[in-house]
Amino acid sequence: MRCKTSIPILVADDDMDDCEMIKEALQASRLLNEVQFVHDGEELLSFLHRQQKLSTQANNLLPGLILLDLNMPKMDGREVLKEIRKSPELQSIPIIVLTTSKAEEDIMRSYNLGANSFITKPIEFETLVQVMRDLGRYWFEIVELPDCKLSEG
Amino acid sequence: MKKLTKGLPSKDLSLLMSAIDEAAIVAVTDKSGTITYVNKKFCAISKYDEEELIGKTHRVINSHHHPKEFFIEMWKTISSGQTWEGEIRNRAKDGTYYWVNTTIVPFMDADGHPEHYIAVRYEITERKLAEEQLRIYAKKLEISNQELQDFASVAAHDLQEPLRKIQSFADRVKLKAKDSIPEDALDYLIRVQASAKRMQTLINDLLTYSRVTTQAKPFSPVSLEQIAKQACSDLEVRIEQGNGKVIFKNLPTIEADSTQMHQLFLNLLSNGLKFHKAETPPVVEILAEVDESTNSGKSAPSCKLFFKDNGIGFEEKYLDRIFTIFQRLHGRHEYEGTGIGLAVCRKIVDRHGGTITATSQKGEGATFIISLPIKHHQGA
Repeated sequence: MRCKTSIPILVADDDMDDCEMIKEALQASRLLNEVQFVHDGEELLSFLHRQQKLSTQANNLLPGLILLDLNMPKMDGREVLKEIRKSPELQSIPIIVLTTSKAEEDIMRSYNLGANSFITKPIEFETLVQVMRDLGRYWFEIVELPDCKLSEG
Repeated sequence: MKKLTKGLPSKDLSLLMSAIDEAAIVAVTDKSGTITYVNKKFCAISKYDEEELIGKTHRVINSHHHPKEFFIEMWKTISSGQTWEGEIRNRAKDGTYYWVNTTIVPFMDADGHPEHYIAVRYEITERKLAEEQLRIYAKKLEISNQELQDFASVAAHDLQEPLRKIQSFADRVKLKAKDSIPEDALDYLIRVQASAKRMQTLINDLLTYSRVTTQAKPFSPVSLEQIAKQACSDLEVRIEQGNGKVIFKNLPTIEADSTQMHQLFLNLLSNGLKFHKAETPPVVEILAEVDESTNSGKSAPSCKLFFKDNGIGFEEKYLDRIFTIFQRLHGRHEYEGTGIGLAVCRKIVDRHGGTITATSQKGEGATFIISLPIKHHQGA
């Protein structure tokens, strides 16, 4: 079992302002986990596959949580969600969709494709900090996360 | 056919032939396809004289619309002694095209070899053109629906993103600098935020409007009584806060998109509740009239719904305006809203093949009248 604060969070978002904002909000929420960023769906997949290859029994390098934007270039969030849920090595990673949209069809579709949560990006920074704090508390304190590498043997 | 002609005396046979000549386009060919007989109707539609056709094959009127295989298949059928039926496009002498439904009956000799063929045709050009027109319309509709879908996605994502950022960064400036910037600058910032928020509401409303088309679900039996109950429970807080009342009973069940019926009721009820007189608590009454009669044979059974309120009403000269998207009769400071509610109502009613209108007098309340078919024939 990994130490909770050493479990990295991966943010997939093409919008640099949003990445910056999420980073600051995570800091402000005092979440100690390392945060990594990718900026499109293809980059996200190749990052995950690379981390998966580099991981060992003792040292799991896969992110413990993915914050996924839906609208991204090259391969959008929906496609990448589908790919991750199809991959035996990656499918157990919790994915939180964090997007501008609150369209019903986006919400429905994300859950159908296997998202664990759907969050509309808050407008106020304070709210974003609160969301990050709650996410951190929920996923790293309340919930037991799968240890992807171990479960795959 | 062979048996029939055999059994008939030759006088009756010629009567039969003249009857068919009157009714259809007829041609007779020998076994190789060379035309040996054409009737008047054949000449009229093809615009060729009899002499121009006798001794030729049907290639004269070939429109090159059908692939070779089409005719190979046809010949295979009739030369084996079977009747062939199909729709063919032909070319008349003047270059115009016409469509015929064609039945070719082979007549065999004693050895079972085809001796001659009789082709009986009916013109179907009009139907074919109508079908073609329908295909074009369907294609156009598909394209415009796709565009609407794209637009909806643009509105949901691409337009919202920069807008959210305007709000976010204005919020952060406010947070960081509220003690260090002058009061009027802070006020400008608040105005920026308010405008961005309004823009966001407009985009969302536009999205709601386009969803009537893009998120349309098939029709199924919907109890409007249930829909009204749901809508009331959704509006419970607003009804209670305004001391309002919604009255309805015995609403019918009709074939409809239940999500859209819910939205229709929600919009009309909240409209009635919103535009109430300052001193009078709002009362909205829903009445239904079912018209089962199909006496004219044309009009299917329909129902009329009346949403009657005791609110401020409106002048009927604005009737067209109120159902148009983003059209409002009041300033934003008087009544909130973007002017989307009734536009969505009309779009929903249109999709259900119904009508929506209203009667009102300023200060005398308003009644919205919706007429909807009870049943829909396939598709919709």
